[in-house]
Amino acid sequence: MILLENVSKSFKNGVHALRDVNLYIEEGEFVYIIGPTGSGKSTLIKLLDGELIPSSGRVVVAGTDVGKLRHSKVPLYRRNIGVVFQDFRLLPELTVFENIAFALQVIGLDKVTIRRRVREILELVSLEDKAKSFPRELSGGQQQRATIGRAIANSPRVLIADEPTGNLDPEKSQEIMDLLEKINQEENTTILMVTHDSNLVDMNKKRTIALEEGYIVADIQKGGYIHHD
Amino acid sequence: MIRFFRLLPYHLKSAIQGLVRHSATAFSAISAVTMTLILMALFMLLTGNISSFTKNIESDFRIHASIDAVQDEADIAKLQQKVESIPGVKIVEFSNKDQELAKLKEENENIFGMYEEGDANPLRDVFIIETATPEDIEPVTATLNTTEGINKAEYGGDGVSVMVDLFKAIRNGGFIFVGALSLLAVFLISTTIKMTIYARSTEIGIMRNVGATNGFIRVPFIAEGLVIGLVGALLPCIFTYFGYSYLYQILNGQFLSNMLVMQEVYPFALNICYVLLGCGVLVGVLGSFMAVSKYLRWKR
Repeated sequence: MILLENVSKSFKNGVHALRDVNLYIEEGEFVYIIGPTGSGKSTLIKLLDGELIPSSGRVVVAGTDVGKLRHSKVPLYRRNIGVVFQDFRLLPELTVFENIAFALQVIGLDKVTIRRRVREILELVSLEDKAKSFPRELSGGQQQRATIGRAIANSPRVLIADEPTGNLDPEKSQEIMDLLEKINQEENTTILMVTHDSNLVDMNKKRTIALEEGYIVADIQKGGYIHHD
Repeated sequence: MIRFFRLLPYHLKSAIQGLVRHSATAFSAISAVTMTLILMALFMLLTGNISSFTKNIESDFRIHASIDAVQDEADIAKLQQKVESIPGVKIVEFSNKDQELAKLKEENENIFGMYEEGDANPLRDVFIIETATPEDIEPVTATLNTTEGINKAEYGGDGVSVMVDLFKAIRNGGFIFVGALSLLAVFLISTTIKMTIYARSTEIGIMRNVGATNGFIRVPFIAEGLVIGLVGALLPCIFTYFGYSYLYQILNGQFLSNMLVMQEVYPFALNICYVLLGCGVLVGVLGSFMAVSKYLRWKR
């Protein structure tokens, strides 16, 4: 599903964010990406969602060579992947229902289909009773669930979660974790979760990839957080 | 294309929603359009009328050419043909000295009555000549003065020509001013809309994240610009049409003297309204297009 071949990324200011990364993630996998600040996690995500082009190497997601995409095709490619951010990024002027429907309007579905799908999603993320609420009326956990709902609305093959629990307390974090696992199992969505939360990683053991200074320093199938000195 | 029309209700809805939800910035953009267009309307009314004044005065320009007293009727007819053949001459009218005296009497009451007795009329027969354009007046007059059989050719006088020159200067200056003003308006409105869009750059970012194409992102913003332009032009249009009709009515269609005839309300004021609406829409669409494109340009 996701293939990185000898991928390096350096910036004009001389920073080498990623160095010769090789990685293969299969369809339906749930993978943690851990590492300290500045280890290249964000760059990896930007390479995957087409925001950046690798300096060398190949990034292939769901059969698309992301680095070779023409500019105008990037939006179309992005419909294959959902992204969840630490800071939620919901549209403040739209209700929860509208926020989720937004992702479907963008790809040009008709009204009836949108309404049906949004109801399904609201049920999946347990926000049925918050459909008409605005983001500011929700708690952090609820907002993050709405964001996840928006990210998976158009049934992407890959879901990238960038520190989805970064702003939440442990209890709410576990809730989000459970939701992601549910999506992983029910919709067979490949999930890539970037996190700092060692407790979460230890409690829900999954394949864990550790990045440090742009290198992959560990790739452990049985999981567990790797502690740095 | 089919998709575009299918999404049209969505785009319109989101444009109106956007305007309502960002009503403060929308209001400032609309008032920027309104103020500029009102200024533009004022100048268009002014320059439009000045050019009509000038045309009126210019059409009053006629050359009076008095004919040598010795000419008989056959010679006069020959002379008239000759004058008509001068380039730039449009109409040549013959008026004998009795008709000229009658005209003088009409304009100046009875002072000239004493010349009517016997053979006392001191005036000469004249040709009254109209030229095709006001610019022809001077060369034609010069030609006439060197023509055999013509005693003296004269036109309106320096005072009138100074006034016409002044009007011309005001008109040209006005056109330049309106042009500069329109440029300023585009800039002003584009900046205002840029500010509204800047406030929504996160929105644009999110749209892009969920896979919206640039065209899809652009349309509601441009529709917003269009609505801003239309609404902003509405007030200046009302102001122009009704304000000018009122002014025309109380001034009775003329300004200060009957030499300065104002443009008629229809179609003059109506045409200005069309221009204002067109400018409003153009400026709104152009401004928002420029502004939104700035946020859609991105590199990988």
